[in-house]
Amino acid sequence: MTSTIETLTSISMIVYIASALLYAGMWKRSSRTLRILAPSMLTAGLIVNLLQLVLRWTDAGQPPFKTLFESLVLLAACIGVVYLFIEIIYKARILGLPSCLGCALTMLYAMLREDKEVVNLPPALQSGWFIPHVVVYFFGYAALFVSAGASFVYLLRSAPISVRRPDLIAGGIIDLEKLLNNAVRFGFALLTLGLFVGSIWAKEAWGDYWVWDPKETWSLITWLIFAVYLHLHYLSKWRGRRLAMLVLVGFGAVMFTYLGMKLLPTAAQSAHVYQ
Amino acid sequence: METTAAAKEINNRKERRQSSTRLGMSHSFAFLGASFVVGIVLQHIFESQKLGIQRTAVALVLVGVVAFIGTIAAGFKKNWHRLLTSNSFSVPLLVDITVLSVVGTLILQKQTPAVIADTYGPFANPITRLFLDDVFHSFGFSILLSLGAGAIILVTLRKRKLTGRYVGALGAHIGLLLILLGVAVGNILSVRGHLKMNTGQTSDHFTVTSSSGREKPYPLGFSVRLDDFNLLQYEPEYRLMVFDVAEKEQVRLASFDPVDDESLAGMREYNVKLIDYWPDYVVRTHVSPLPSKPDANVIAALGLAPEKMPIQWIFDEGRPKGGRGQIGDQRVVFFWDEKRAESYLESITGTGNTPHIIIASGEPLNVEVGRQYPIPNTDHKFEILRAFVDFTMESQSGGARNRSDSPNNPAIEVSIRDSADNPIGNIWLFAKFPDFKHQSTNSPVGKLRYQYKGSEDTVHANAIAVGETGQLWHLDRDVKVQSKTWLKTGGMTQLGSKAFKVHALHRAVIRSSEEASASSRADNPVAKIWVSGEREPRLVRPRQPIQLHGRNVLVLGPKGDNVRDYVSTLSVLESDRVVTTKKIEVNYPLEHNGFVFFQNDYRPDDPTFSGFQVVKDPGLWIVYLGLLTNFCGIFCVIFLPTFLKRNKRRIATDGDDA
Repeated sequence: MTSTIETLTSISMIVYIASALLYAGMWKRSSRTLRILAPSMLTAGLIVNLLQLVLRWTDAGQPPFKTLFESLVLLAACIGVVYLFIEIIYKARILGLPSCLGCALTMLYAMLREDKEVVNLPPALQSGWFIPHVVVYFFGYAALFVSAGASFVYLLRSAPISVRRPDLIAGGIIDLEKLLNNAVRFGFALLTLGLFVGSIWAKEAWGDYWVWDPKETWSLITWLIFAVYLHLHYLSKWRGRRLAMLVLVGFGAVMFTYLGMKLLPTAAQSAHVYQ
Repeated sequence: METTAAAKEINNRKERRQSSTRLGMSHSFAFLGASFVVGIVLQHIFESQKLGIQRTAVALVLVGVVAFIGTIAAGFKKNWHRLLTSNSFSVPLLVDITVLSVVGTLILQKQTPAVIADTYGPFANPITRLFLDDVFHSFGFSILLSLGAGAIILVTLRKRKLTGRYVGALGAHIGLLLILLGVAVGNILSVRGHLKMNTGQTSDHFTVTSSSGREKPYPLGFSVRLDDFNLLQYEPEYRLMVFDVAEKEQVRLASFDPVDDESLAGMREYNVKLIDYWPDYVVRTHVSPLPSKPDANVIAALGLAPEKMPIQWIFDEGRPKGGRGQIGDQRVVFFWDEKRAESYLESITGTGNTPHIIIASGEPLNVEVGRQYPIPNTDHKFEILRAFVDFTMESQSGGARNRSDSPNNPAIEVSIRDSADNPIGNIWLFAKFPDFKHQSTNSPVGKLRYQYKGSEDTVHANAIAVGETGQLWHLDRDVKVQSKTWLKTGGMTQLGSKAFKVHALHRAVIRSSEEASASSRADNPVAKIWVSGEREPRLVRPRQPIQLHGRNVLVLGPKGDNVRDYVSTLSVLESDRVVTTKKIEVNYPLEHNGFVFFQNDYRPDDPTFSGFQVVKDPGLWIVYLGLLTNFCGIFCVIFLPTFLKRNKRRIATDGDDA
């Protein structure tokens, strides 16, 4: 089954790359074919990605969220879902390229991992809170990834994008800043819920809802950075490039929380560090 | 003209506001920095009073309360109120808390001064002086949180228009206040400790650590009894893993499933090939009797059938030490000739030899300092380095020495060597502490025990031999006593904790052996591998790594942690009457009278032991309420305005239609 999962990882990565190229092509020229093909290709990649998760779950008999490999597969699916949601709601394909690239790079990293085998769940993870805690957090990470993608595009082209291109943007003009802000708000709400659920779970498992574990602390740091964002955006009316830069700082914190714990000397004994 | 003037006025107001904001933020940073320093100073003062952990926690909360009240009081002054209720204060506060939190993950927390000094060298002093090695429980951090709580109160009490966003922000802030309140209540009133029990035990208290670091009992007000404990394990699975062994760390390069051909294909990269794998390795011996040839040097064979175990064949090939087998934990030596058996037993238990006996894999060996001996059933050997009759450690240098000539604490130092004669490590074995385990019994060292013949402990050995008239005798001997028991074919004979019967005896046999797996469970996994460039294949066993080329090492190890769950059945008793019984496992604690028992610990070598964390936290429900309120508030901030706007638009549209 591990080889099947590896094959599906490769296929979904290739399909994500293809969809990224199609979205990139849409910047070059307007084409009805690209307009249909790009989201279709992304959907196909997403289906393969979700199939990976389902097969892994049935093979392992446990939620596939334990190892870094499994979490990367989940993250790629979450980014794909969040982006498709944005494309449907806002009728904007402007973030298709960074989102599909994100999915592809996540899958590439997963392919390079050595921990593809199913690992037994330790007693602490055998809880009804495991699935909601992880899923909420990863959708939050995905929303913040999309917001980081929007920030990046904004920093490259900060003037309102008024391209008369119905295949990239419906209606002609899109307020990229508004899109970015909505993604951040959604991600922040999910980070808050993730902290909430995590605290209750920690109390039930270990007797303490907060122990200043490095992963817990960095989850809080990430939450604080985006709390600063919300304060500056709503109260100090921050707009523009500095807000986009703050989102990128916050996303850096998200990535460090997800992947950087191994670098911390304080996290040596932490249960949250991927082996 | 008027429009231009109005626009200019708006711009001026904006600049003044921005200018006051800029001024406000730098003031806030300075104020918060000063508050943190005040906290450090206060903590130094309190700690110099040596109040103890519990009283320091109370002081921590009191300092926070004072800071909180001070903030509220400052809010009565207009300028302070404007600052404390603006982003000019909230943003610097959030940034400061963020920075301190980052510091708390970069610097080791709650370590001993020796560890801090060792890790940070010249920076250890400023780190400890600023309490950065326990930053989250420092007075400075508490003051910052309390200033934030005070500012939130002031913001909450401000008159604002009730929009969806404002209501949400209110809820989020009130939630934070509740969380801080719950934490403060918990810090003062909560009790935490542990309870360690064996099955059948009852306890009416648990253990808490006092302010001086001593453990003391804390009464429950009722009793708990551990009725049962079960350690549940996953089916063991093993993997062949390649590690890069650098000086200070090991990095796993690859992992291969020994029963998956596709997985094994990758082993080629490391110049190693798997020949065979047995999850439950056993060597089965087959014998074929031959007509006896009295003058030839033939192999005699004794078949023993231990209770509930397969038949074991022991062969005597005429060597001085006879043929060797094992029944339970007892080594069995077989001699076709009874005289050779007696001579062997004399050599082990007699008085003419050295006083040092090493029991290696159950077989007693007389050993001398400076000589090497093989460890049976392994490809390792050991060398005797030193022997002391009265071992002690130098208090200053930490070195070992012989304290006297009296055998008060006989000890022997051995050096373990691998098959290539490379030293693996040195270890001391103690005659009076034979169970002092440095490593597990699966490692080469675990197979060695030391006996000192001059001590009260006697050296014991036994053998089975064929007598002159063809009877089979069991010879049992120590230094003083020898017994000889006739073994009747078909009858059970006790040897140590196991019994056995004689299955067959042949004067001459042809023997063959077959490597096989006794079962499909990975109870004794062994892999046979061939490393390119070597002439013979090698066996890989758990915890016995094999050197590959370069820095690579091959290990046969468990795929992951095998523990599936540990479950305790705990009964609560009041006035000796069981009021409730519950199975407790991780994530499913037991609560009674405010005390919550969390399954926390087990011991692999003691199946009756269970450990619990016991917590009583009156502030918990406040924290939970705060978390819920905070989340609902944030949800409202984010989604309510959009929802209300859409509804308003829809109502307006419906109105138009009407």
